Amino acid sequence: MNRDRIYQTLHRRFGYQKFRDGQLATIEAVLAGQDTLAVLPTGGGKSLLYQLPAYLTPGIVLVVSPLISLMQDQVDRLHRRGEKRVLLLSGQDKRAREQQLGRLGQAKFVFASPEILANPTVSTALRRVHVAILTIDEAHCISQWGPDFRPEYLLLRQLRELLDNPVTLMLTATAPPRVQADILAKLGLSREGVTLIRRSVNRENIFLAVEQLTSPDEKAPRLLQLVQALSGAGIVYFASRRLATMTAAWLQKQSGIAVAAYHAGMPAADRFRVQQQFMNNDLQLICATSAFGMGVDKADIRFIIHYHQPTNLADYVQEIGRAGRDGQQSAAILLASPGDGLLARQLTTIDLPPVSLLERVRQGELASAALGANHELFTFYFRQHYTVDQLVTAFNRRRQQNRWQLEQVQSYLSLDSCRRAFLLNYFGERPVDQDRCCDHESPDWLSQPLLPPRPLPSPQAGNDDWDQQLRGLLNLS
Amino acid sequence: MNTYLLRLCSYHQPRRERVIENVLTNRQTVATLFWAQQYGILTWLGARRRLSREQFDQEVAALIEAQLLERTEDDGLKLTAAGVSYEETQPPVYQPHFYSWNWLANTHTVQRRLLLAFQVVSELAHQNRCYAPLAVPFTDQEAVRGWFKHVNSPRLVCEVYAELHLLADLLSKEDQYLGIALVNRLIGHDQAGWTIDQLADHLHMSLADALVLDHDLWLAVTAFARQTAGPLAELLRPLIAPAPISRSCRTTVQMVQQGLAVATVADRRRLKLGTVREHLLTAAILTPQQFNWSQLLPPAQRAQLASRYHGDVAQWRFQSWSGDANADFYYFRLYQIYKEHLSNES
Repeated sequence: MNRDRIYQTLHRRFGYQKFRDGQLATIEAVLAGQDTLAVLPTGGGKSLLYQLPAYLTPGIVLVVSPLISLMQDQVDRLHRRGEKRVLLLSGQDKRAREQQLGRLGQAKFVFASPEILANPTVSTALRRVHVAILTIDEAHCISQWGPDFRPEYLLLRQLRELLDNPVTLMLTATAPPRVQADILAKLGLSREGVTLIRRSVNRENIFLAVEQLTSPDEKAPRLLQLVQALSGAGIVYFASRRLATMTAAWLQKQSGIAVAAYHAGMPAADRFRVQQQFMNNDLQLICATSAFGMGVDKADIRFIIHYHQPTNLADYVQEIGRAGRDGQQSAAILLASPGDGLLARQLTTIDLPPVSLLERVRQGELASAALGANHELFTFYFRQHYTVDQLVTAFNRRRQQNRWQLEQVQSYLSLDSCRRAFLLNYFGERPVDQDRCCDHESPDWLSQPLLPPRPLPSPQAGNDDWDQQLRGLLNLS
Repeated sequence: MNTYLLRLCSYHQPRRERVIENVLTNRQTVATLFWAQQYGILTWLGARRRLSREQFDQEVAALIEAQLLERTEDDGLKLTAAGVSYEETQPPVYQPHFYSWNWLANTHTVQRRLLLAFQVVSELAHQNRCYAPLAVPFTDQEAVRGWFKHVNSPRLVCEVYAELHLLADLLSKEDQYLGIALVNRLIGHDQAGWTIDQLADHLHMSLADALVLDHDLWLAVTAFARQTAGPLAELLRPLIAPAPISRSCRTTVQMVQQGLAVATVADRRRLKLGTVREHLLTAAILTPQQFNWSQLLPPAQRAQLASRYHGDVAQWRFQSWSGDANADFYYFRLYQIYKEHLSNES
């Protein structure tokens, strides 16, 4: 493909003059028909990697994505660019799905979760249209979520074959070499047949810090101090919806900062409002669960605070990577206290039912409901012809992996050396030497002007003159 | 702490928490409807359809922990003295005006369609095609898309303004908060509108009040759409139910009122006998004025039941008298509903 055309498209469709590191190489590989694994840092502009080739290739770009919220963010971005040929296949009733599939022919971008794609009606409908590029967003999920959480990821290999092996673009920000190999293996691709575009996971402009507190009760006051001391927009991540909601209200009252909660339990319209207000700078701070921000289109987020420890470092790097996409100095702070590890362990534990029970369900002697809340997970494997022994082995292996990942998080928290070097080593990279690195080098980082100053927004003004407000909304004088 | 549930509890009458939950989430069974009627909370049907079991339990637990509610021995909930005192010292800022219209529509669907449709019109008015529409289920997207194709004209923006102006004006006359809430909940060009928490903050009310107001607002919008003409009314009209009871329930009632025996109706409609009886009891609770009491609970039957049951309806204990416990229970329940109807009438 002629580079001039690529640049013209970049300018005309996206309004940019130049690519970020790794983008052009990936796009050229995809346009040359090569299956490509792009491991680019968070904020590296990964959506452009499938959006730009879509305009230079006939056919549909199918984007497989792990979360509705992430897909919705991507769909919203395309809409904001004026692209209306977008379809998000979601888990609705049969009639609605048939209506959606009837629109496939008019779509350029189709978003779907692995679960939806496992539905034969959907995959058959996709066969009838020309899927030119299969994009697997957050491709590390294939490896991370395969055995015990999102088993449908394992069916993507079959889907790829069913769609006559379209050019496959795998995107991730956080895949150590072991995970990269696993992604390719699970998709049935060989290392030799895939173009690997890899850039460092390091985000130089994000300062890393951990605050070790002696009890969980110290977290809220410390959080208040931090959000008052840090300037600019920020996100505080919580493991619990309830705590996110309560803390948002408390912080707004205590600090006067414009704060809102965000979690998947909120009505969709309120989630939309919070996201829009945050992007418009009407809100300075969001107290959220991990449902927020995977694709938030806001470049000037200055800080990310984790109120609870993450369950693995890949998720942590993803979440802190939402800061500083404008390249300006930003910060990632993790609040740790004794007992946090227990909560994280509870969140990652899936108990296996007794072998005899599994066997009886597999033989059809008992209904799958006998396996408890996660019965669909186990029966998925039986449908894929796993024996009970194979299932138990897979889960035990996964349990060990989870434990190891949690240990890595614990090690990160209790480091008395450079945090960045530890993270880079985790992702198979060499340490770097840089300024404003982490709290190991700068223990008194908070007393120094770290982040660029920015005036604070006040809570969104209300309008009691409803007629004036209505006229404004409808552009009437 | 969200004190919403205090409004549905009483100091004098322990109330079953699952009845309260089922009322709020609109899970209608005859038992739920009957007890909701006894508790005087029938108009709250569907007031919080998205309320999950987990969230409900959390709210109850928080109120019990705050000693504003207590659990009685028979698993009921009741206000404590502190709960009563709380209600007296911090009375609700907002009282609903439109809750008797609870059956008109699912207010969540109304809200989704109206918000998306308004956003489309607002962006059109600002000549902006590059925006992210509110994410709603595909069925709602299609409804709004079809509506827009149908109503789009050079006059659309002015028509929508006129319609909403009239609505906000009427709502403001009913309650000053409603007009403000309507316009500030709208999502449009460069305006994301208030979330429910922000609504509470701006109107200086509790989250509980804001939730009550918000449901009232969307019921009012629906009731307005039922009475008026205009592009938004046209959008919402397909969502409006013609009556408080379902079509199937109405058919059963009509057939019985035409003189067919309950068993014949069940046979002809290929329904279980119990389902037909449930239809009749539902109609008796939800539309007592239209219910043909003299036909469906003849005076002789009433006299017989009156000899067995008297006093507080809620305290009656059922005992079968004819050997057909299902039939007896149907008449027992119908008589309870009848007595409640009489007491409300008086």
